[in-house]
Amino acid sequence: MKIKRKTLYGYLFISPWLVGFLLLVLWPLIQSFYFSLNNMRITPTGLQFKYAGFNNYLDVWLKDMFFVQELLQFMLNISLRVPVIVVFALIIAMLLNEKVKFQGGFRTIFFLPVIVAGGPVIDQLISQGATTVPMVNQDVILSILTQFFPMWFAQVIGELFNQIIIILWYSGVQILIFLAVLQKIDPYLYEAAKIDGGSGWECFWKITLPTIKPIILINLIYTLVFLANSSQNPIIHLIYTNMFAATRGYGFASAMAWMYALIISVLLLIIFFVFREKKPKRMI
Amino acid sequence: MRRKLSFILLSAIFFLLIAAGCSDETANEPENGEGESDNVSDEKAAAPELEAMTTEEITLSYASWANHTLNEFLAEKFMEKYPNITVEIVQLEQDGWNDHLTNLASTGDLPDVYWYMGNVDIPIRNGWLGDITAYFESDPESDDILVTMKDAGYFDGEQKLAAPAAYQPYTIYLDENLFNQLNVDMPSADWTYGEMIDLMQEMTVPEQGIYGYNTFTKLVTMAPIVNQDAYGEFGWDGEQYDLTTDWADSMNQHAEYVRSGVHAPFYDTDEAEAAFGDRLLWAASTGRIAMQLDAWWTMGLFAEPEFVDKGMKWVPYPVPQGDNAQSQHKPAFIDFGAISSATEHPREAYELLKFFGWGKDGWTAKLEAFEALENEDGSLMFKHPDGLPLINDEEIWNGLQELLPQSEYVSNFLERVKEPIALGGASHPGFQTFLDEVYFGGEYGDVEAAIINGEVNAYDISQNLTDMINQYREEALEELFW
Repeated sequence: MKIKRKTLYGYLFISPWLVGFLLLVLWPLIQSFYFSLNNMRITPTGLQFKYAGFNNYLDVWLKDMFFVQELLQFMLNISLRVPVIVVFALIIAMLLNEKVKFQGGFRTIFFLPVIVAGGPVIDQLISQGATTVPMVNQDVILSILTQFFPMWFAQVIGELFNQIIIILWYSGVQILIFLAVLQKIDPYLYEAAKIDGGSGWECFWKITLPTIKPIILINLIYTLVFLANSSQNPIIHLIYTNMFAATRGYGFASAMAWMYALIISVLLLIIFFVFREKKPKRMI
Repeated sequence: MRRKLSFILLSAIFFLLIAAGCSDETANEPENGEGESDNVSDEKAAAPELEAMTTEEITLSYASWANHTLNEFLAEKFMEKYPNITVEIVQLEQDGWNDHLTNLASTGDLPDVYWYMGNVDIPIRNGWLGDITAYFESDPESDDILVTMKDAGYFDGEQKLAAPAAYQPYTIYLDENLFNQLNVDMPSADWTYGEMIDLMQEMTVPEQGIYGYNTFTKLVTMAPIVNQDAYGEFGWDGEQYDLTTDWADSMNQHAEYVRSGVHAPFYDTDEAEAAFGDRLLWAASTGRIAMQLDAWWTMGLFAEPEFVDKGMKWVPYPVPQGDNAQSQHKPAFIDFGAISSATEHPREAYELLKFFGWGKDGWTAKLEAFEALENEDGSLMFKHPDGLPLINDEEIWNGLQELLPQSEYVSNFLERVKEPIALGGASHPGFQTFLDEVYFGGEYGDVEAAIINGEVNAYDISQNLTDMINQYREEALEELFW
């Protein structure tokens, strides 16, 4: 079979990504799975392994009292944060799509946190209290919320208010994605709807939302993955702590990471099935 | 058949003799510390001489979080003493120290000599600790080490895998001016634990906003060590922990003092704001605290104008002696060092560890450094010498005392801190893991906070905690030494 020149060029162009993926994603994945099946020691003369089967996976659930606790907290948090971020991103994207003065400037401002507030910078900003709203009194909000909700839920909402700035900072990429799709919507559709007497509100529900629905799914997935991998996520911190813990180590931490990845995958599947594009039923 | 049998028998006897001969030779080797237990005393009695250092050109790497300039100074001195050895100081961030060591170990770059931080389970589990038993036991200088420090580092009771490398005693600072103001006599340097507890109460004057004490170091660490003549935290007697007596007593005592206002309000709380007008103000800098339970390294800080100008005169006291104690055991921050199990030059690495840690030559060099090292602006780098010696050498202790403020308090202090007891994490397998999983992160969350808040009574849980910590130790010894 003769390989076409265009095919070769194609592979050539994606080869940097392929090499990166194989070396920096696939190989570490295989390694971490192998680690998770072993008790591992990092001696000065090399790594030592003692096969443990799936005991590390069992220990994650049975011995680490923080994992389940943090996992439940995380699921509760994302059930609120993911919709907040995506809805906020959509609103801002629609505003940025309007023809206003300094449009480019506004777009830059909303995307800036993605570039500036990453990694250690965000850690510093959080530790210096730059991401909280000084006017918002957490205790007052909590006391009001507890009148309507049980304490565990009130705390989650209270935390949402407390970290609202940082949550909104996380929406830069989503805004960009929404903006791209909003610009693709044919303006004639709106024009035709307006001629037929459709209001802006109706245009949003009948034209905008159905058109961007697949992108909402992408943004939901992106946001969930982003929050799941965030350095601010306590589970990531827990995995890191276990990695260097004396009696647990890389094997245990790898098992925890795999369990966590599995749960995130299940959540992603749920989101996918809820928001996927359903094929229209054939008219008889 | 008979000839065959004879041949097999003869061969068996022949190999047996060879094997016996070989094992005999090994047992007589001076550097081998792992012999049959009955031979150990004989070997000790023979006191084999410390083997000679190499004369070849070698390089040793060293990592500790001590002052980098001091490390470089000491490295220079070591290289002057052993011109064929080059010492390279490996600089690592103190934050996440053990993680950095793990990364170095994973690439085969663990320094030849290094300090580990806090949790001894990490270097043991990962097999980083080189055995220095033979060197230590045949080194005449080992006899000079402070008596309570000699056995430190024998984690399994047989092999010496680490050694104390730096010593900062627990220190209780008393504000002499506040004592004078309240017309209360300063206690004797030989004060007892009970006297200290009474004095805390006596020095509390709510109407003047004066508090008996503030803590960095804790009563709950001190009491079991000083009152039980213990060899470790939580009443460790060399074989078992026991939290049922002094730990429980002191924990309840502290909780009661916190609730009744003998203890100063905690940092960054509403109570601190109400008391001092600033929730982020360190209680010890308010001039309204009679005793600050702290460490030796704060001595230099308390001599700063920030404290003196506010009218405070903090003077150091040793942790009081136990009420019925036979010893002078006092808790101390002891940093441990070790040689890498993979070092190609264990004998020389041991010498380097000793020089930077407890060795007399090293301490002579340190004293020189404390006097000589300067900052870029010409000011003295060590206004207050860093730590105390780990050896019982009068010359070194006197030399250090000359560098310290000439006061009776200081000389009394130095005379009474020669039986330090290391904290558990760095010196007892399983201890830190117990703290992480049970004491600070178990059923009650932070046990001490739960007791202070009145959620549990120390006496109700002390037996359970005792059982658990003893179990953690046993499991750690089994699990860690595989």
